[in-house]
Amino acid sequence: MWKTYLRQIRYLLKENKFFSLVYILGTALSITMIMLILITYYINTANIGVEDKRDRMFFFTRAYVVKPGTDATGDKFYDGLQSSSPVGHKLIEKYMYPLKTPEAKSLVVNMQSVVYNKTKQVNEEMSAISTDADFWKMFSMRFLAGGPFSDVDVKSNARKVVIDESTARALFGKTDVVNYPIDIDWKEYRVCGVVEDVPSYLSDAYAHLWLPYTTATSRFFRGGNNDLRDIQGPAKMYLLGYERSDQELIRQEMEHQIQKLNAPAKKSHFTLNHQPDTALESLFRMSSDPYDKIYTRMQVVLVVIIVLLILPALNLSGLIVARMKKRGEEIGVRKAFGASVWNIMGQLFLENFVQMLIGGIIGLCLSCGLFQLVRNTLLVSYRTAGNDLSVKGVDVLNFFHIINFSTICYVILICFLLNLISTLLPAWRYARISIVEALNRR
Amino acid sequence: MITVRDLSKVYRTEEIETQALENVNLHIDEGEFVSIMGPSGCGKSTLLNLIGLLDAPTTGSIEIDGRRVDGMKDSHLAEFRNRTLGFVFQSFHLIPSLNVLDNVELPLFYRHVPSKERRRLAEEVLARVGLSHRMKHHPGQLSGGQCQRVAIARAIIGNPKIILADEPTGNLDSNMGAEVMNILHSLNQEDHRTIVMVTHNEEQARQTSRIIRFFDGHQIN
Repeated sequence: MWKTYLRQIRYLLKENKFFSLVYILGTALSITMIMLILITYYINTANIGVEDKRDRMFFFTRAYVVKPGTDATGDKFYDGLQSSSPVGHKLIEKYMYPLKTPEAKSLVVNMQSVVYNKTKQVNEEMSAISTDADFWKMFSMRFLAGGPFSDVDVKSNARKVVIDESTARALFGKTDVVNYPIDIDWKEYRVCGVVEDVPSYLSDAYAHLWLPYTTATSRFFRGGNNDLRDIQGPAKMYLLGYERSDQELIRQEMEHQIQKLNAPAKKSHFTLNHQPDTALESLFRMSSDPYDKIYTRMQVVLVVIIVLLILPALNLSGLIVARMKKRGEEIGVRKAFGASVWNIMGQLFLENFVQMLIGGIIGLCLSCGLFQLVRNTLLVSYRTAGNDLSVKGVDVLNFFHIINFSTICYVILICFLLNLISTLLPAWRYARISIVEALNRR
Repeated sequence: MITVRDLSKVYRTEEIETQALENVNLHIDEGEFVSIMGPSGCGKSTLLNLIGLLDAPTTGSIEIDGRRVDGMKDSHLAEFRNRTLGFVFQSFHLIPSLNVLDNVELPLFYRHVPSKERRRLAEEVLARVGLSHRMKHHPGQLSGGQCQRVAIARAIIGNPKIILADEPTGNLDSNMGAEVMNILHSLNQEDHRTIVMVTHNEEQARQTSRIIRFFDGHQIN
């Protein structure tokens, strides 16, 4: 039975080359678009590479200063909003480090540092992260030599630095360089560890240098009044929960801490605006929006995906109707010789599904090609935009790390959905057509 | 084998109403070869479509092989057609995207006969109509006479008791028409199948066991 159907599908594909081409390419393009969205989503939110705890990592990235009593939702939020910026390191030190709910809490400042390359005798600008000892609990970096700086090192302003393999090779020609001196921002540091390169698409962990933030606070200075200087600054905070579900508990504890900060007499209050965020939420958080806008943006993306799915399905549906008109006689003959409505519908579904599957496979290949083509652009998230990229980091991103069994299943599911949407109505309509009418359609 | 009582068929559109058949009563015995004749538009094909369960009557009843078929559900009608009736159409109605073998196997396909058995039976009936050498060809590669022989093979593969032929020689030259008529006669005489044939050809009709004539939707004899 299947063999006969497949033989017929092959014949129809060969007979209606233009139709088949449009149909298959249409499917392939929509699959490609959806795959690229899935890939972007996956790169930014899944547990991959050294960022293998993203599912229980939470982000506190913005400090919102508002008039007292401002609700963090809806349009009224804008009336009360005075300013928003990254977080001040003093706020984190004083109010967030004491948090007990998270497993780890890390202050992070992304910056560009100037490193003196003695071999080339030039200063080179490099991506750096000023952070603390808990940073190394957040990510699974692999040390090639030495180890991370400790809490004691951070508290004692020890000028220690962890560098990546590329930097070690560029500066010293080897990776076994623990205790080697290195000039960063015209100060001498000592290498305490060398890690494998971190790909730039892992934007939360990515840098070439990681140094204790206490050695770089002079660069954190910010103008404005004293209240704001403590609250706002260049930092952000990563919080690692024990469980994915710890987000709300952490938020509650943070809110409790904030109450200590917001004295009733102050004219400006600080609000978390529903932080900390999950990795996905942090992607959709813009600088000065109320938190419910995050969900509006997510809904917009979801609608775009659905439209990407439905629009081609509607076009394909039109193509199917055109082809059904040509095949009315066949449907009549099949029904005359015993095919039921369900037999006809099943056949039409199968025929279109096979074509969609071909389109799906081509779509996968296209998205693979397109992915290689736009890889660099695609992988620079707004969080690292402007920083230098680790070329090796980009190179190690392999399409087939992302295209795994579950992705293939998604593609089949999407093909099935496209098929369902595009075939259902024409198939139902034509399968129920009167036999005499169908036979007379020539 | 076939009993038709007070059968009427009216085609209605928004503007006009056409009475295609009016109060037709007839009985056809098992093993008969009946011709239905009359001028174009007299309702011959409409009657054949109603007997073949390809269309539903406006009023009246049809009994085939002892079963009332009016009011049957779609799935039951499909199964009944598949097991009891075989069709031969004037314009062959072969599926162009299937080869000869697949076209002939079609009725068995919906009876869920295993593929090997389907293949064996198809080869057998194609040998009977003299087309063993054309099994892998597509309908577009065959002559009109060959197409009609494929259509006959398709009609008989499921071993139906009744064959309904709507002007089976209408699109063929006289030689090919004679060949097709010979096959139909052999199916009637050797296999004792009941055959109802719509035709315009008086000579071919005279070779059958009975002629039923129609005019303007009425049976006139």
